[in-house]
Order: sequence, then C-alpha cells, then structure tokens
Amino acid sequence: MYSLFSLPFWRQVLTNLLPPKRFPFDPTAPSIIVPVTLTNHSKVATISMVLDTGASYVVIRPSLAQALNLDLDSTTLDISTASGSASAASTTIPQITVLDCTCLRVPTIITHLPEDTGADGLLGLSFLNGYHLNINFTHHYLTLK
Amino acid sequence: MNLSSLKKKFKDQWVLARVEEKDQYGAVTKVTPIAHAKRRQQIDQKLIHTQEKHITVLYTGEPKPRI
Repeated sequence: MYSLFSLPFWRQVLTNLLPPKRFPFDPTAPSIIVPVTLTNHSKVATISMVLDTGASYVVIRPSLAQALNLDLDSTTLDISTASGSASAASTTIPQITVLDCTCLRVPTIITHLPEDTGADGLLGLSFLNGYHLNINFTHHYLTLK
Repeated sequence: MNLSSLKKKFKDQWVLARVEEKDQYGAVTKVTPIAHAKRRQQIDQKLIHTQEKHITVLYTGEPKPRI
C-alpha cells in the first residue's frame, strides 16, 4: 500500500481519473504480448510477457529472478501445467508496472518457460486481479485500469 | 540502438541489453546490447551475472503459437 502522503499514491489517483491508455497489440502475433516493468529496489527489468488470464500467477524465468535479486519464498507451490503437475519456487515481486498500472508485492512463480514463446514470462491473475482489463479484438488494442 | 536495427543485426536471437529509452506504453525502444545468442541458456548465464540496473531481454525471431 502507498502512503497517503507519497507521490506514487497521488500519481495513481490522477491516473485513475484519466481515461486508460489504449495499448495496440499485434494481431498477427500468436499471443498478446505486453511490456512489463519489474522492480526490486534498484534492480529493474523491462520484459515482454504473454498476457495469460489462464495463469493463476505471474510467471518468470529463474535467471530473471536471480538478476533481480529476488528472495525465494520458503515454501514451494504445487502447480498444474500443460505437461502435468509440478512443484515450483515462488517469490514476491515488490513492484510490477503495466501501462499506467502499478501493483505492489505481486506473488510470482519462478519456473522454466519454453524458449520458443519469445516472451520472458506470463502476466497472470496474481497481477490482473483487481484491474479492469478490456481487450478489443476487433480493433486490436487493450486497456488496463 | 533502436529495435529495428537490433532485429536486423541479431536476427532470430535472444539479446540481453541495457534499457536506454521506453515509449508511452512502457515498451523498450532503445537499448545497448550486452550479449546475444541463439540459445536462451547462454543469455541466462549473462543475465544472472549482470550488474546493470535496468535490463531487458529481447527475442528477435518469430514466436511459435501456444496451445
């Protein structure tokens, strides 16, 4: 939670009053790819993530978790994947920003992803919950508020 | 280096880069390449040890469809 007196709090209030940005996605791409900025103190990574409402969590690769110096949670999570059940490490990312929306302390799964997705993670429900996501497939844009 | 130049120079590769500029949507538009490789694993090794403050990893090829 932001403090009532902090600049990020009032920036977020102002952002909520403005109409959301229309992010144009590539309709020819096999997935909807969105730019995502992950912040852990002074370490920042801006990566492409697949927008995935079928994923319960945000998912990142182990190498990215290490690069951001993220601390692993003490327990692993049992997850269900396309190839069966598995146990995965988890973490909490201090700050994730997508378009104008910033979410603090986002539960995240750390696991290997296929090379050929072309993206560096999945933007799942642990971020998307609490936002109004509107995907316009006719005009190929999305908004997030 | 802008992204279209990067895609031409490092075709079908993974690129680890320092972020120089982003657009209004927060997407990376200008970078300084740090490492590039055909295999993701090689980039992961560089990524783990990078000391850069703001990094990105880009794939310059065509991603495959997911099911």
